This record gives sequence, structure tokens and C-alpha cells, in this order.
Amino acid sequence: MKDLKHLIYFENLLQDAQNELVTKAVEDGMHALGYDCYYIPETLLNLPGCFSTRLRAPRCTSTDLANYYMTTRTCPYVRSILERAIEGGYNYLEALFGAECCAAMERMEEHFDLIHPVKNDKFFTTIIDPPMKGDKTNLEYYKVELRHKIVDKLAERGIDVSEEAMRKAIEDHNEISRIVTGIGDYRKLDNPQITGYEFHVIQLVSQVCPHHLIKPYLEETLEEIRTREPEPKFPFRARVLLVGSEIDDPEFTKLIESCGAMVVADRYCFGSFPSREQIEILDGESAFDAICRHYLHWNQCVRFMDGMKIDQRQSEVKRLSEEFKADGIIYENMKFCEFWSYEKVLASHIFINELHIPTCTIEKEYALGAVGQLRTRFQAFIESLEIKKIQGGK
Amino acid sequence: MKATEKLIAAIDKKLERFNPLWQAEHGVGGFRSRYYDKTGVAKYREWRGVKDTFYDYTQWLNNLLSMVQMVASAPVPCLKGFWEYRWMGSYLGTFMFIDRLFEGYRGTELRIAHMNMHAIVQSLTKRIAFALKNDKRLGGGPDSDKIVPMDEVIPGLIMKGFKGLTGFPLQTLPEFIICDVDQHIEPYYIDVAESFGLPADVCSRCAAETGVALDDAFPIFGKAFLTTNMPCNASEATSMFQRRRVALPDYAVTLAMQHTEPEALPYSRAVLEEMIAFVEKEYGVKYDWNELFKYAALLNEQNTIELEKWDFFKTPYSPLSGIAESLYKLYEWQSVNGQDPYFNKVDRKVIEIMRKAYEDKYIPFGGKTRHRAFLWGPSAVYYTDFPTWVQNC
Repeated sequence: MKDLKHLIYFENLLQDAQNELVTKAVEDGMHALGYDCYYIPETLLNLPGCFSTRLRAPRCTSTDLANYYMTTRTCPYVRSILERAIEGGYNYLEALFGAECCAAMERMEEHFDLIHPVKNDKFFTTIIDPPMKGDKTNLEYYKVELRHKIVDKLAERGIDVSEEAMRKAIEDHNEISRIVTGIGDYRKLDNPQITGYEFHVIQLVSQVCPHHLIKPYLEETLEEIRTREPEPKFPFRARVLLVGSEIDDPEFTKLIESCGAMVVADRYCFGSFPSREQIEILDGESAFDAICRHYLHWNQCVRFMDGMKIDQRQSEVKRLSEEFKADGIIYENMKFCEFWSYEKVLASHIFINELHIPTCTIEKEYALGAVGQLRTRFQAFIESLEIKKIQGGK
Repeated sequence: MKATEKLIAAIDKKLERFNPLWQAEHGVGGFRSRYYDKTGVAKYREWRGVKDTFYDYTQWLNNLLSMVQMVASAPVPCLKGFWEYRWMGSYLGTFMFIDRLFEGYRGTELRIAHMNMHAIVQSLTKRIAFALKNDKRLGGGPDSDKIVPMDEVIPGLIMKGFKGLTGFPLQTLPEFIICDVDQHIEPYYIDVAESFGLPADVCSRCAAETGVALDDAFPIFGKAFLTTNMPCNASEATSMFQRRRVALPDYAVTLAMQHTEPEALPYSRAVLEEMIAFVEKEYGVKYDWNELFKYAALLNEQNTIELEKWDFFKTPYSPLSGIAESLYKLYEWQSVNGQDPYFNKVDRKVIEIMRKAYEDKYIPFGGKTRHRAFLWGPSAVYYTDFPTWVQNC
């Protein structure tokens, strides 16, 4: 396939948290608001004069400084974020809106407050106590948390948090989502004119770059893909759905695809499922309430422990695997992650033994290492998918 | 000196070479001398002098009595329990466990330690008998459907509002307490969990709980199950396994994590109210707030006494320290939680002893301690004998 015009540009934007678009927005006087979890509605961080940027630590291969503060027996993602902060990689940020989604994440966010790694006078940290169920009581709690720890904090700093401002933010979110989803839907085709890697890059830039600056490139990319000629024949041996946690390195997707499986859908923390669904404001509902309801409903975090949410996680994965015609599912978890370690075991048991969908589980470090082992694992899985196809799906 | 006192002193002198404290002071041994090397199995019990050894022996009998009463109250279920559950056999190690915990304890320290420990033993043996008697896996009993299995870190006190129902902490017997007694039991369950695919880098306690669930080693009773997000990520995650395996209608008691924030109380209250409504619906029993407050008063008394104990801990005159306090407090707070008046009786006796010790300027451990340590950590401190070891150092 012909190379996408802006792919190299997008790849370059992902090499640094403070990329050229982020720098431009900051220089233009916009407030850079960092977040690290889907529990923090991206929409609320894109009110007038603000832009959201989801935290990554690109090319972080060692966490020597962060290890002083957080044992090496913790999630490598959070340690890498702290490492990058200590190195000065986030000095452009004016805030970190954190969520106590897990102990490791919370401790990392605490350190932003304790050791002040971000050298910016305007910088502050808040940490919400996220809900653990999807019911009405938890929705009300979620609203209170978001109101007090995000909206009120922004208002204190003179940000317009009015109904009108939030509706504009929703429009912005929906527009970005329309474009990204439009691109992603091409993965449903039998011979897609986009690869999983390319989509991963596009989805990431939509999360880390200011929307108003990245949107023109994304729109152009969508148009480009509409008329892009796919390969004469589907170039992969299998189609897989990737499920997991903080997969913010497109090289991981590239690794899977280099083994022969196209990543047709991305159900992980940095993925488009969830994150790129349209927000609908119901009749009589305020924009803020719509945002809270939307994010709570679509949240697939594995820390939700009520039956409804647990079932939803599995039904979402099943739905995506059917919609995107995945031959199999790859469950990923970061080392030392309690939640995902348990989730992947239970989910893979259910998918393999009850739903009869081939599933493979792997664990990885934040930085892409042990590539040989991962490659072997993926190749074996893909081979089993091929054999299954040859045997007529038995 | 009375004749008996003289006799006791003479015997103590004669047999002092068997006293590990004397051995350590004279460089001819110590607390490990009475163990078969590298086994943890004791050759003989600790010689503490005539008076203390006799007292220790009577307490051993007292604990044995509790065990006998446990079996006598449910002989067939207990026997079936031994056959059915791997963890049940490990409770036979309780006596050696207690001996190990109280190495080096003498006089008032030993007496308080045994009072506290017996409170645990008598409570636990009753619970084991109750659980096995009503375990549907073993045939069930009259209270099988009046038990509400729940996560062990849900405060048991709240269940006292359900007259006629018993909130039962599901993980305590097969995992929480027993891994302190027998360090070889949980690796089996961890192995079960890891054979199922659970990575080895998660918390081993919760991995063990998961293995217990997968091995069908939880007793079965009740009509509904209460889980919770407390106290940690792994505990929350294993709840999702356990609810599936227990396969009863369940309610997750998800309490606020940032409990000092103003929003935390109304939210947590709403969750507890929903929990109550759930149990009312599943069991057909109305919640009685007066019944709850009756037992809340007991918990308040326990807490009041505990705070007074802390004042004595700040002084050099406390005969209560180390494992005698921490293991007791853990069990009293988490498992008993105001539900059993026996613990209040023990607390009242113990605090009297501590008040007297303070008045008498009683120096514990023969005045041999050189430092004061604040021990902070998870339950690993118990099964590593750390408090007792550091105290004897």
C-alpha cells in the first residue's frame, strides 16, 4: 500500500511527550492538562483554552530515578511516567488530573505532589476516587468527584466551565471521534486499506496532541484512506483483537503484525475502544451529566467489580471480535499488574472454554523488550489460528 | 521465703540450663536449640522456669479444651472437614504455632499473651465447627441458609443488624489465619492458581485465595455473597474469581478509597444501605438497627480500651507488646469486630493488668530490651515470626 502522507509526521510526534504541536499550543497560551487514565474524561480537559494530553513516556527504557521512589515490583508504566517527569519531560504541563484506579497509579500521582518533578509554577495534581461499579450510586459519586477535582479546579483558574463550554468540548470530542472511528472502521473490511499499526499511531496522536492542531492532519488522513488502494491480497495470516492495559507503543502492534496477524481492533487503555464513542446529550440532561454518564458507561476498566460491568467487559470483547471479524484475541497485561493479571486469566478461560474464541495471553514490560519471546508466542498463536481455519473452525 | 518458693527457686536453678534465655546469655544455645535443625519442628517445649512452664502448660490444656469442644460439637462434620479440606489439617499445628509466637515470654507478659491468644483460639474453633456443621459440601446443617458468606474485610459488625443471620468471613479459615500457622499450606493453593494461568508476580495472599476458590476449598453455605474492594487491588481482583466460583447472587461493597474526603461518607453510606437492602431481599430478614447498636457499643468499648493500651505502649512499663498485641488486635478488629462479648471481657482484664503494671513501674522482659521498634507492614510479619524474633534480639 502507498505510505500514508502524514504517518512519519505522526510517528515523530509520538517520540516525545512535548512534541511540536504540544509546544505550539503552549506557546499560544493554552493550558496543557495531563491525564493518565480513561476515568478522567478527556472531554473535560478540552474546555476553551485547554488541551488534553495523555501521558506517555516514549523511549523510556530504564527507570533508575523512579526506582528510588517506587519499588521495581510495581507497574513499569507508572514508574516510566514518574521517571520522565523527574527527567523534566513534562515541564510544559499545568496539571495532572489523576485517578486512583490502582494503587501503583495512585502512588505515582502522589509523587507528582510530593517531590514536585514538574518544574512549572502553575502545576498541580488532583486524584479522583473512581467508581468501581456502573450503577446509579456510583454515577452520582463519579459526578461529585469530577465536579470537585476537575471542574471546580479549572474554574478556580479562570477556565470557562459553563454548559455552553462543555457542549463545545463534547462537539470537539465527537468530531475527533468521528474522524478516528471513520479511519478505524476500515479495519472491518476483509482486506483493509489500513494496518493496525497505522491506526495505533493515529489513535495515539489524537490523544496526546491538541485536538485543534492535529485535526486537520487526521481529516486529511481519513480522506486519503478512503481512496487508498489496499494490497492485492490480504497480507496477513490472521486477524486479532488486542485487549489489555497501557499499550502506548505502536511498535508492539508492529511486532504482532510482523508475526503475521493484523490487529483489527484495539480494546486497551490507549485504544479507541473505549475512547472514540460519540457522546450523546439526552433530553433534559446537562452536558456535564452526559459526559459523566458516557464515560462511566463505556469504561471497560478491569477494576469494575459488579456483575454488570464484568459481563460488559466480556460482551464488548466478543462484540468487537465479531464486528471486526477477529480470528482470535490477544490479552496483554503489564508486569506486576494485579487487575489485568486476574482479568486476562479469567477472560481467556471464558473465551477459550465457553465462547470458543482462540485467545492468547502475554505479559510485557512497558518498554518493548523480550521481543524474541513475544515473537515466538505470537507466531505460535497465529499458527494455531491458521490450523483452526484449515480444520474448518474446529 | 516460703518453702514452696524455695523449692521452686531450687528447681529453677537446677534446670536453668534448659532455659533458652539462660542459654543465650551464656552462649550455649538459644531459642533455636530446641528445634530439629532446618525443620521448624520442636524437640520439646520451652522451659520457662517452674511457674511459667506450669502456667504455659495449663494454657496449652485450655486451648486443647477448645479444640476438643470444637470436635465434640460437630464430630462428623469435623472428620469430613479433615478429609475434604487440605487446610483443615494445618490447624493441628496451632499449639506449636502458639509456642513459637511466645518464645521468651515470661511472667505478666506470658499471661497477657495467653489470655489474648486463647480468645482467638476459642473463637476460631467455634467458627470452624459452625462452618463445617453447615457446609453444604459436607451435607449442610440447620443454619446453612442463614449464613451470609462475605469477604473477610467487610466489617462483621454490620451483619449483627440481621438477627438470625450470621455473616461469615469466607477467606479467614482456609487462607488468612491458617497461613500464619502453617507456612506450607498456601503454596499448594498458589500453585493451583498459577496452574490456571495466574502470573506469579501478583500478591501471593490473594493468589492463594484464588487457588482456594479454584480448588473448591471454600465451605459452601448461604444464599448470597458479599464481596468488597477492600483492602487492595489484588483482593478486589480475586473477588471477581471468587464470586464466579461461589456462584451465588452477589453484591460488591465498594467503599470509598479516599475516606478522608467529604464525598466519601455519603457515598459509602449509600453503598452500605444498598448492601443491607440486598441481604434483606435475598434472605427475607429485616435489618434491626437497635441490634446493630447493641454490638456497636461493644466495639466502642474495645476501641476505647485499645486507645488506652496505646498510651501504655508509649511508656517502658507495658507488659503487652509484639505479637501478643498485634495478632490479637488483628483478629479482634477484623474477625470479631464487636460481635463477641468474650473479647470485651479479655480486654477489661488485660487493661487492668496493664494499669497495675504501669503503677508498679513494671519493666517487662526482665529489663533486657535495648531498643523500641515500631513494626509496620502486612501480615507477613506474623508468619515470619518477626515480632517475636526481633523482641528476643
